[in-house]
Amino acid sequence: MVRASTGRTVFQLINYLLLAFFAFICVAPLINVLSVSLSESAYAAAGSVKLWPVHFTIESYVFAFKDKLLLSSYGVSIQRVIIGVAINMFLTILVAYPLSKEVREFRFRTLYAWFLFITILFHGGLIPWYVTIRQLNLMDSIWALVLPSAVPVFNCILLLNFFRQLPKELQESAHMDGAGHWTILWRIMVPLSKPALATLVLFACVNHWNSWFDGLILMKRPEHYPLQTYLQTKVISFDASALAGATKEELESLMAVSDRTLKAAQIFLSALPIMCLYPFLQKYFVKGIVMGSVKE
Amino acid sequence: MKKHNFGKGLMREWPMHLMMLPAVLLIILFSYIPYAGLAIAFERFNPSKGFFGSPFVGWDNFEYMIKMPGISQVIWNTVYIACMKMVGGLIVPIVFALLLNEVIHTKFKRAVQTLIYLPHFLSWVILGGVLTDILSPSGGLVNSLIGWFGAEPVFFLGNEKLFPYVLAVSDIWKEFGFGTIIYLAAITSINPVLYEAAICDGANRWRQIWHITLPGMTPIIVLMMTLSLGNVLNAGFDQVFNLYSPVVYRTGDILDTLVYRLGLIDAQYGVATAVGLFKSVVSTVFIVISYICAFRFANYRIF
Amino acid sequence: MKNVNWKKAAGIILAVIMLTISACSSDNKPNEGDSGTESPSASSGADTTHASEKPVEKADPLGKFDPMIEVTTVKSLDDGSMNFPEGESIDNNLWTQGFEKELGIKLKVEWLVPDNQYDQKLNVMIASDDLPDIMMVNAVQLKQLVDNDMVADLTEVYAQYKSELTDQIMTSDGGIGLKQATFDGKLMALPQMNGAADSAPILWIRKDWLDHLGLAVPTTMEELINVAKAFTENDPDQNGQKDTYGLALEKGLFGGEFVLNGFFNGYHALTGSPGNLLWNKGSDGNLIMGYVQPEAKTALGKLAEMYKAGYIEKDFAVKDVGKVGESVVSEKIGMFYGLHWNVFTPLPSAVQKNPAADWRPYPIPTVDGTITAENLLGVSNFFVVKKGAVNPEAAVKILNYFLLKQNPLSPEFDARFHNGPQYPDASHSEYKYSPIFVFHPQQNILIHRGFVEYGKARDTNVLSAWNQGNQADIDLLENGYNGTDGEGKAAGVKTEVWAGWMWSGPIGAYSVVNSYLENKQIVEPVFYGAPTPTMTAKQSTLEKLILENYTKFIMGVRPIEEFDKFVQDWDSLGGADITKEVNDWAMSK
Repeated sequence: MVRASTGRTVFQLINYLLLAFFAFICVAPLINVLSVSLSESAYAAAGSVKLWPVHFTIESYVFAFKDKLLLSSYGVSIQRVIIGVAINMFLTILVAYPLSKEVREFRFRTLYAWFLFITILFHGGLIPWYVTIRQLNLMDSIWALVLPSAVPVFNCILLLNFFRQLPKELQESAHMDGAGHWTILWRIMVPLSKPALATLVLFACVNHWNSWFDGLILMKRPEHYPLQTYLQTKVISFDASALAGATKEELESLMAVSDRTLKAAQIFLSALPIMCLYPFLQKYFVKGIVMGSVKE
Repeated sequence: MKKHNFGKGLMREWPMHLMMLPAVLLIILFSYIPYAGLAIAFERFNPSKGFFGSPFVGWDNFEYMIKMPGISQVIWNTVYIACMKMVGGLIVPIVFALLLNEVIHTKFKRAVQTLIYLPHFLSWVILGGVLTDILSPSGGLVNSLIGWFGAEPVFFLGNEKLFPYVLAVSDIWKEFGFGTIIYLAAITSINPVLYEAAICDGANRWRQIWHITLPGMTPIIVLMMTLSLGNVLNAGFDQVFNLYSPVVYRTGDILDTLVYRLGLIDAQYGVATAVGLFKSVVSTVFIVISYICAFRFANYRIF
Repeated sequence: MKNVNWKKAAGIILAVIMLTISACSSDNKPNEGDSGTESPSASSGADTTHASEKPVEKADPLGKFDPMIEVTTVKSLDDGSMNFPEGESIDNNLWTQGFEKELGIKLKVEWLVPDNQYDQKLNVMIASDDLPDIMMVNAVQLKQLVDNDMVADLTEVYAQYKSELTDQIMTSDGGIGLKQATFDGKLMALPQMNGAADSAPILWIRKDWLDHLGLAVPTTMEELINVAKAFTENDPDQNGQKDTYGLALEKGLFGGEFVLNGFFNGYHALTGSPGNLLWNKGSDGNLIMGYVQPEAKTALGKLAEMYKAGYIEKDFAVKDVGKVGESVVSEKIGMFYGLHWNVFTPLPSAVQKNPAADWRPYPIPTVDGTITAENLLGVSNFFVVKKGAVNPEAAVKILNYFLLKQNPLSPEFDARFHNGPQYPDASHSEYKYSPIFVFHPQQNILIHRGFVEYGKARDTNVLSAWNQGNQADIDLLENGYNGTDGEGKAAGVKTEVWAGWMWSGPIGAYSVVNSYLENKQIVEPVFYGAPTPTMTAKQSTLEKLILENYTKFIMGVRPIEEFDKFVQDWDSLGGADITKEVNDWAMSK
């Protein structure tokens, strides 16, 4: 039995305090946003809301839910995440396996690896990207949001590294038992990579959930916007110089837009699903049943 | 003889080629074909004439970029800020992952893991406002604390000298949760048998960390370090844009904010693309060097 | 083995290149915007073949296209208008129905975005050569399109097809708008006529604070500085704490709210704002930019003193309008320079939080008794027709039709086209659904004048067509207007309708603009040409220089004596070139 030394106890205490402090400063801005969303408009506009709502009210949420566009954008984002992440993970797994092999087992691996990696380093730019998607007739469809980023190279590299750390003997013995690559991949490698896969699912979900720019450029109607695109149009500071010649109606609608509590409610609603996702995936981050050593 | 080997190899390898196929096709379609657009960097781009019809101007756009007033200061700012972020962004998550790994109380551990990832979700548009509040010299939280210790309030966001550090620290704060998760996943993949053996040999916790945990994380650390080298010229447009102001231009203006203003007011596609290309080339050089070093000295293939 | 590898690699690379070339050379020919069928046979009396001869043969301004043609466009809308009423959508509303029935035009809206994303999306479209037939662009985009030969020449088409009403409205600003859209003598766009005096600066003050301290409304710069001092030091909100400031200022320094435009105007330096810089006639007759005039130095000197004395917030340099707005709403500031629309933001929040906060608009104070209020160009947007569009005259016809139905001066004015099919029961901005919309340059002023007259006469017959849709404000007027001096019961007005009252009512923002107009105190921009070459290349760099240095001068980080050195820097970075180009342009007028 390990005797708990005083040093160790002190360390634990400090550790807990430190971690709690950092956790707090990370969550504080979100608490602030939540409080603003539950406060009365005038107080929020005055900047009086810190970590607790002032004059509690849920009217901003009621107002937000009446917004058909907010609801539709939620739907689009959920659709996008489900389809997009499925494609991402499937391709990531498919690609990581061959690339995790040694050169003698798969002679073109380095060529493929660089082929993929170059796409992280170089980009053709916004315009060619747009033109390509347009030429493929993908505009205004869910596929425009899901296909261009179908291969998440960063994730592939992470996964191939994890695969490499799995013991070679597992693969070799399976091979000798007559198992083909496909079987080895799905029956052996994947089940043993749960922590890594869970991590990558989280990253892929967050990526898709947070993208807003492609939604703006590739969709033709606001009803087709994913959530963050829609949110971007709300939260962004308007260009005041354009108002010099505004008409009365334009100005009146401006009053509603600059409502801070409404913005805060929308922000909070958009962050909520992902925050709920993480604890859900956490059970996969358990100490592995991996056997064997690290790379040679 | 060669043919025979090749044929046999192909027989064994064709499933793997097949696995690569869908990804390769998609990448050709959405990444390689658009590379044609890099031609813009060498042209005076006219949209109605397209990528290959616009007049060719050779290195003019690059010359223009180099001659932009203040460009050297801007590049220095970019590199300085990016380096601080890279170093901090590497060390803080590692330390945090190690500390978190020491926690026995699972619920606490999971709670902390969830919470530290949160700032990642908020955009700089929002965090910019939050930070301005907290760092305000008249009543902001941080300055109130400083006041308790009897010191004068500090104008963080308005001080040329401090601004780059504010950028680095706030960015590390926002993103360290991301790195921590990756490193934690690496730590959990380390074989527990190693720890048991070490304890039998009488190693205390520190030695265990030093000899087992850290080496077990090394491949991932090296990977993350290499990949982050690709960001040596990405000081973070979103963040700087939302936090900077004329009073800190001198030390806070980065390559991307400069190009943004150019692009917005002058619609200078050629120069904007040239800058992007320049950044890519520099990143590539750094990454290739790092890859070669890791390979030569540690016999480690990063990918 | 190695040889096989290289061949394979080469093959792949070659294939990629081939694919690339074929993909890109066949692209960029827009497939939208093929306006349906052949040339329009405009009915009755149209004769379009003698276009290049003088005199211009007039064609039917509202002639119907038969067979029907298709016209594409792109739109942006604000949030309010995005909420379409029952049965309406961007593809189906009073305007699209009108176009089909009466003009034979089928409108196809390629895409719809919220207002604040329009520019970004449009820029991508332009750069990809993906233009619809008709679209709205700003001055910078217009220049770009003209330079790259991507828009149609509308000179003849406009001359032939414009209606009398159109002609009247498009020239009611003295023809400046049309001139802005003219390049090399050719009309390349239809300017969006808009509020001609709407960017005149206004000083907003909390009258209740002035009353508490027994101060009069400032009319000279000295008095203004005194008020700022009193607001800072004498506890105007009477809460026993020294927590207030004199003058609000945001980090952008110039623009629409919490800015310095009006302050500089007080010293006769007309500055404009980044993106909309103004030029002044200097003492030697040449044009000089507002920011580098000697008068600007004087103004800056005063501001530096004010900052040092604490009348301006210490950290204004990092606060954007949102943050400064908070200070206004939380009653830390009692005075700021802004524009007419401040009555819609941020002031309603301030009034909501404290109904006794009596914010009032006043004319800007001046250093010597003469007011020179700057004014930006009224026209900042243009409607262009894509080059090669089959029926460019469709744009002119749409314009004619728009004015016919929506403009109160028109004999066929129909309020529903402005306010929606359910008017007067329900009202929204129907006029925004049209691809082309313009306003009478004096629209807002006319609304204001209509109010005041109604207040005096209390006779609904006096209510002009301009006051349509303002029922709530009219009721306010009935209840609040109280005598000839127009004081009314401003402070007691319910917060929801406070904005309308304080905007167009007798003591509202437009009363200030009106007084500028009547006393001829508005100075029209002396430079209204397209951006010059050096402007295009150096503008952003120079603006950055100005903002950076101005901030430092105000904060005292840089002594005001170095102003001349700053001007020299500006000159050598391109300012001198731009000044020359602008003066050359002025000579050629």
